Amino acid sequence: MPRSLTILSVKLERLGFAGLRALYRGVYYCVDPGDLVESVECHYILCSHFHREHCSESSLRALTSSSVVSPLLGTTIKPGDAVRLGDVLVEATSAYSKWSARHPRGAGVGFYVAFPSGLKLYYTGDTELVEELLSTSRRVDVLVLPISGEGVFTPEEAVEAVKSIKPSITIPVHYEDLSAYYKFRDIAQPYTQVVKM
Amino acid sequence: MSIEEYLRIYRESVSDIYSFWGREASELLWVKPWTTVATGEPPRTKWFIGGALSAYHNIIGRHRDSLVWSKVAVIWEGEEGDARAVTYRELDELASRVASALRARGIRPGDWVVVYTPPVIEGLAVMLAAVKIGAPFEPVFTGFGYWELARRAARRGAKLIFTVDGYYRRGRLVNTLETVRRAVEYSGFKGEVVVIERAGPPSLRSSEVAFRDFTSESSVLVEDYVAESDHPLFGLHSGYLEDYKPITHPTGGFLVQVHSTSKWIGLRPRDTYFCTVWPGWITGVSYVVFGPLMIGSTVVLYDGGPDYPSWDRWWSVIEDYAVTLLLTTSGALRVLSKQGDNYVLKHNLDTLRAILVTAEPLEVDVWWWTYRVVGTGRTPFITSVPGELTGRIPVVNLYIQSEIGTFITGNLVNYTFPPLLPGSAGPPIPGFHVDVVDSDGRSVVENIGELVLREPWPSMLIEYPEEYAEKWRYGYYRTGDYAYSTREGYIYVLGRLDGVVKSSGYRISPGSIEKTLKDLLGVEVAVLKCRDPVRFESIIAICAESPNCSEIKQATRTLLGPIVEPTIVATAPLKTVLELRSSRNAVLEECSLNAINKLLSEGLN
Repeated sequence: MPRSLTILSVKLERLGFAGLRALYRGVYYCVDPGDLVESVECHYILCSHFHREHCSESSLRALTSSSVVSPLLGTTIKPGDAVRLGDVLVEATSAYSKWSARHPRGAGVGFYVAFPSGLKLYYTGDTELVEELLSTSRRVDVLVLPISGEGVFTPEEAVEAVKSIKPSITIPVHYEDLSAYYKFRDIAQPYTQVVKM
Repeated sequence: MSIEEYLRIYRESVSDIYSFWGREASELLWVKPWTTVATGEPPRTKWFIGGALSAYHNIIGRHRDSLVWSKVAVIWEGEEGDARAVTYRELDELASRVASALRARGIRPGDWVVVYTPPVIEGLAVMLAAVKIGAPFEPVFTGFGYWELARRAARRGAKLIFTVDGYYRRGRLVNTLETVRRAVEYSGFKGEVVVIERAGPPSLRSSEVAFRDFTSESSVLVEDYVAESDHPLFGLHSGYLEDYKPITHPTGGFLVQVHSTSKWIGLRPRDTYFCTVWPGWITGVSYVVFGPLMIGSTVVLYDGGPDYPSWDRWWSVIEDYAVTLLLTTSGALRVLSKQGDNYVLKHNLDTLRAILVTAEPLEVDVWWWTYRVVGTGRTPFITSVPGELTGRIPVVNLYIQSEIGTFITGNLVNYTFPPLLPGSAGPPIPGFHVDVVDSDGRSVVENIGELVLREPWPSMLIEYPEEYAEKWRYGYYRTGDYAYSTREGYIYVLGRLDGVVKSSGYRISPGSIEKTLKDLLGVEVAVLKCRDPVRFESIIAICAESPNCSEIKQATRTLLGPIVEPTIVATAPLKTVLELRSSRNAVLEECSLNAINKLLSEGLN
């Protein structure tokens, strides 16, 4: 498994269960770092929602050296809001579940992150196939999405998102059982370059 | 398909190969169409006379306004675990920047560029950039040492050598730049060395320039070079008995041949394709630089050892990047099969659609292992016999040779696929008039003879040594390989007829080793070969008694590269060494001192 993937001058690494860290020009952007927020370097932290494996409210409150963007803490955002972090533009997107009470509408967001090098990264957050996600027409180079089916996309639904968004690369996250990865990978393969990280 | 159906298609194709290849050529994008498909007697046959095309446009530019443009073109993983990806758009931008810099350095169409790198994206971009401006390139395998690199660069009159500072193999840093510096000193190379940063920031000398600086020096947009069909595209040094000799492929015919065969072996735009062979060998040139990119597939490059940190590294690459087609060598599968099944079975390789194998004969037991263990898959369509390894995807062996440019035999996933015969290299590919003949040139069936091509092929060499012309003396091309043909035309390739060594898939010239050791160590050596259960063949050096004989292993490793290091060095009187060299005895059945002593005593008798 690659420990990092560099595309358009942005170096991506996995962080824990569903997180990601992007390094661009010496600045670390951490998305949903979970408990690792206390042990890895992050200049900016993007929190999609406050479930323990994504972001810990108490850990974030204790931080002083990082700037936080989230629906609750730091710079607060809701779907449609945009915020500039250094050279990088971050837009919040809709992320929720219609079928599970785990991710009610309004509690979480996803992030569409545009780097000056041209890289467009879409971290969907914990969501299902909601209308707002399917109707997006923006270019996405790297899509990061959950596939476990527990209040988020099932592997098959995640493939539906891939077919709709048409990313060059897709990094599935948010799964423990490898069979979810295999199922997603085997169906998604023709539509995107899947990378297991 | 049935064998009858295959034979109908094949026979029709070779009944008029000129019409057949003319139809295939029309799938390329020609700036000026050809007026005559082919003219002249082999080996001087020229193809697509009057035609002109941009090779770069046919490889990369053709995808510009399609969905392929935003697809990943290359995904690279280094042994250390870091990966990089570039889309077709970014690969085009990189290759265009290199092309602009090449032009700014005065590289003109027809000038040679030498590339001495492990699998890296920049190395691939350099080859594409050279193609873009009509400059032929010669890739030199990094397994060769400075002596071979120097000779090849000098023979081509190269003005630029592209290399890396170093790379990792089995966790150890290989100092490539040091090898290049010794080659430069030895050959008196007056050009520039462009150094791609791979292992860390290198400290460079005045005649060296960092790749990053090189590509930022010019931003002038360079037009794609439109080449006549017989313009040189790339070259290699092919192993002959006496030495490695330069050969050069033409633009038009090669592109036609590689495009068609890439399509036929199963490549599609949606494929993620992992080829374990890097340019330096014909398979890596044809089926990394050209074929898959012409089709619009995603190419996976792995820059590391197959056994680092453990023997499952390649299987991990397949699992992590959803690889659909694997192209590798028989030698590699032979080694992997000896490591046990568990390295494979702990990975899910279900995305694989086919396994393509080349470079040397594929033994039946290795074929079965690959088919059952690698090709079985984990997700059953119907769970009929849980746990049983049944084989789910084809394992296809194909025959290739540097002089021919592409595969010429093998079952074709996207074209002709009659039932597969394990151990064979499949039936001839349509368009190639393949035969097995006796010493009088008569076809032999169900018997051993020499593998030949009775008619020229589109990528007929435009530069070749006398040895190649000699192989056409009887009106057909002699490959130099023993083969056996079944009644239906399936070919079993059995190994070289001459003293040329096939070791781990590499074609090695014994004469080159002998000459180098004579020049540098002052020793007379006879290079022979023995059957090796892992490498297919191994090198034996019989040295005429001298104190310098003890330096042979080290010298070959440093000068010529680790791939040509003899497995065994023995000594014998000078007379015996010279006799052995002139007679080029057949392959020793085992690589052991006992076998050598037996040979020496028989030679003396």
